[in-house]
Amino acid sequence: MIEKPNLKYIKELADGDTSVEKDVIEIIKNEFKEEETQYLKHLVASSYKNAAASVHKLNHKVIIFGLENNYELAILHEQNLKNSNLSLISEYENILLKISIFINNL
Amino acid sequence: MTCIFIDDEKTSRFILQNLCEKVGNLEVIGQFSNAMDALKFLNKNSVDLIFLDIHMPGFSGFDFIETLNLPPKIILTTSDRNFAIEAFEYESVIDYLVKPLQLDRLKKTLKKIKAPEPIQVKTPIVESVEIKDNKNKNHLYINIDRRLIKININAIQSIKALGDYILLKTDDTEYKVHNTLKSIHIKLPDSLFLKVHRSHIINTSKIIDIEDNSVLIGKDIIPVSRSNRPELIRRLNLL
Repeated sequence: MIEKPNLKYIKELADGDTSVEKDVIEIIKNEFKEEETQYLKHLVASSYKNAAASVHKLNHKVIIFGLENNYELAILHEQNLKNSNLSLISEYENILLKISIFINNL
Repeated sequence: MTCIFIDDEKTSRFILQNLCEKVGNLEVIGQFSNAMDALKFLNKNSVDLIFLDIHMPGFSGFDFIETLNLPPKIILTTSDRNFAIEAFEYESVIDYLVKPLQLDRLKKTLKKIKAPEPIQVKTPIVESVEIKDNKNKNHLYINIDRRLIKININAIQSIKALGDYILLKTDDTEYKVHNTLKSIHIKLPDSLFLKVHRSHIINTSKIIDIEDNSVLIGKDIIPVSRSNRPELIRRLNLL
């Protein structure tokens, strides 16, 4: 079964306070875009250690949106990048795409 | 109990702020996106507790702990589970929270804190600095884009490790050079240069100001690790 992003963690954090929910989503949206841009920039520059650092930050968003299984893959991708191993790039891009679509519809 | 956060992710800082408000007995007196800004703050302020992210660019959470003389209680926060063992090698670290942070887990951690011990920052007294020039090493050459650029050694302010590169700062410019800190260190006169942190070498004659865990050189605040501080102080107190 394909995992779908959800707002469970954010709802728990907000505890019914819609302004908190709105604020945290806005922060995540902006930060996610910045981190994704940085990640791609580092990949293009073959700067894989820096790309791994960007993945590390992005992975926090992966887990915030409840993508437990994808998170395991994301951690592996981060480790791989540190060793200049690009084998999980396309799988990771799918995760990022999934999150992008989700947050753009929030 | 007063606390600060150090985390380069805004999302993490927001979440932590929210959780601390729910806990109730925590007063957040500062939030920092990098360790250096936090060090500046701690040089002038006391705090009971620090929430510290391990993964930060350039200056990790562990680097930060190394620079503190009498660190307050520290709670490490990270999404990386692999640092747990290293984390508890530091006496000041009371727990290790894995992101995304959970309120119940945070409350459990805070119960471990009994009597907060505020950080104390001492400013060392520096009487004078002795610099002995090594006349055989007045300059060095660095190779940038196939050009050899002459650098006056006395004009070098600091050198910082940046992965496979070093950032060499002089009085009027800076150079990113493909080299290691170790290899440039052996080319510099010991009388003038000192490694004050695993990522930083400084020209001791350029020090403008010294705090307990950092030095000001030019406009840069450079961390000084605990293990290197005695040698720095020893040199400065030579005369």
